[in-house]
Amino acid sequence: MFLRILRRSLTINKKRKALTISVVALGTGVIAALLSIALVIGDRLEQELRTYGANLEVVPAVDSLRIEINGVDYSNTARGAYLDERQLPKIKTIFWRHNIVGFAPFLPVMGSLKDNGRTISLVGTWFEKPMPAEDEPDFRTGVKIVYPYWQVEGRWASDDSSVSEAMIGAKLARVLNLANNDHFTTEVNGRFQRFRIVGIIRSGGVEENQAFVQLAVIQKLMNLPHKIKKIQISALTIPENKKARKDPAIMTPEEYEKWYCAPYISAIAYQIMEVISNSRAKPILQVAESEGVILSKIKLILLLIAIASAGASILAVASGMTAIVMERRSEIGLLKAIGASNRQVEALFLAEAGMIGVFGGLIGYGLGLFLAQIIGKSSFNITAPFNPAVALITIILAVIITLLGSLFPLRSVAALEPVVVLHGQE
Amino acid sequence: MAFIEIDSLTKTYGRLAALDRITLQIEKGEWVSIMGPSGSGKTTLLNLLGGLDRPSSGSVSINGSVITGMTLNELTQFRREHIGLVFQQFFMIPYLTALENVMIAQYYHSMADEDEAATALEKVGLGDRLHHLPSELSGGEKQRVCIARALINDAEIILADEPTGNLDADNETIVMNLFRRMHAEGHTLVLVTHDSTIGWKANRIATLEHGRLIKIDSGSSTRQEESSEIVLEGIDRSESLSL
Repeated sequence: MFLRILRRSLTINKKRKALTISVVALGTGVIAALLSIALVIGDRLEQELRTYGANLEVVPAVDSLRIEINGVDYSNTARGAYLDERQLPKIKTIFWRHNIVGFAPFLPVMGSLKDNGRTISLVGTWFEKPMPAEDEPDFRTGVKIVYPYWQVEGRWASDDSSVSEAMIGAKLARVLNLANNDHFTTEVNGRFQRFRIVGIIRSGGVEENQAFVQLAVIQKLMNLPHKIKKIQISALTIPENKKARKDPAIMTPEEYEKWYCAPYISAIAYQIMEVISNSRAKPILQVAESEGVILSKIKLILLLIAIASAGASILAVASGMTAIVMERRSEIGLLKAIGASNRQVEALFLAEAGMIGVFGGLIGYGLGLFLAQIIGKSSFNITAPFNPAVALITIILAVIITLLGSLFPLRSVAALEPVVVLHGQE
Repeated sequence: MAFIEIDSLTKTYGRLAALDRITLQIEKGEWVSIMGPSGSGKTTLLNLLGGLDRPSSGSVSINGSVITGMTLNELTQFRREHIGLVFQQFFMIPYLTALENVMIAQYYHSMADEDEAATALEKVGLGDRLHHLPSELSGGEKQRVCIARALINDAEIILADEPTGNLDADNETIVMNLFRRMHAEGHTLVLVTHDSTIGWKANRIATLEHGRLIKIDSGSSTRQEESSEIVLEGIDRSESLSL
């Protein structure tokens, strides 16, 4: 009988119920949209943030002290320890290999220009070297991948050492009065090498004072075959929590397994050290932490908007349900007069509210998915797919919002005396 | 002790006494009309008898239970088990059919029984109106649905507030015949009216004025009379009203 009453009662107060359903749909629609975006934004944002450069650096294990003068890293030339370039493909074999966006080896040296004897910083590296991995046959890596934000006037240099191409920083080019297609000759280790400039780099960083050339050329000049001084890696990671910052040596087996199988920057660094012998991989913390902070802040904003939306919906539902209750005072009075308890009458209204919530949630999810496409496309260039879990959460939230919004009106149901509504007092 | 004992029942609203120390006994199976001009306290007395309102002082006991001392929940339970209510405005749930309006009283009493509810409606002459909404029924038909609803749980006491107040003469006759039949079946009737023709059909007439019981008269009805066969004018049936 209860379901029969409920079914029939849904056919009255249609306009108010439609309005209340609309309010719930709007509120939960916003929440569903934000939830849909929040679920995919992490990966997308991480990819966007990866365009800001490397977040991991690998150096020889013995090189623990960094020597940097005027933004130029001299530690590599000051010490004798090297990494082996031939081990680089192993980076794409670690557990989180698919999160490795790219990496670039570096071998910096100081050279002097043949024309004027001026000392310049030369860095041997890969630009966009093909490096087929087992499950990524088209994988290419180098500074073009690791530093996609570099603005290049001209073009990226080739990795083919036979053509001796160079890219030089904008500041260095200005000082030396060099432009694209100009040539310069440097002396390194008593050997001379002529380079053709194919690109001018603007990065806003130390790179603007350096000249980048093919790694193999520097190795040959230095007589250091296959040697590199450091590797910079761009990896997709998730923000670390306190547990993730714990020393793996003192983790319990469960903690270790959980940490190892999560794309924390420290876990990826650890896995890289496992494959690159005598290396020390360390997060470039400023970048890694900024990413975590940005992600956390965006998620906090989404959460606050969702809470505000839910709060507004609750108030609007309370208003709508109060109007419905007021319109049905006689019915409530009659039900109480013929023997319905407060709880039984409240149950009827709560069930109605629940149904409004379900309808509102269903419409809200549809609306939210639509909104998510618009917001996602315009702001993050993402597509939010249909997600049954989000749909279910939206409907549950809609029911909770409607029930919470009904609490205040239900108090008036309990307080309503049948004698007042049925025939007043004489 | 009488079936219904009303003792010094007083209801005040601020300084205004709607009921002033009413004392009255009603026997089981008796039909008592409460009469008086508007504002005399008739409906207030009926509300207190039905446990719909609480007195300022005094007490009402029904079959030994002091209902004026009951909690809200106890009153609701007492009402659902012992009292049938009929109102002047023939209140019905607007979105339920005639049948469902009767079943809802069963539902809150114990268990809804569609066949039993249909039989009750047939007995008040509404067998062909079972699935009509209140908006599709005439005033007289609505009031008969309300009477069927009041009787469906076999209430011992029927409290009716101006049950014919909004009806035309034909429907008034039909409804009053139903009340006579209820009385004949042994239900205790307390009927509020300001219509003396209606009021005098009872065993006794209690007259109120300014909240006070000013006189009790004997009416035209006796139990012996009621026991005889009553033809429900306007209703094409004569079976018992015992539901």
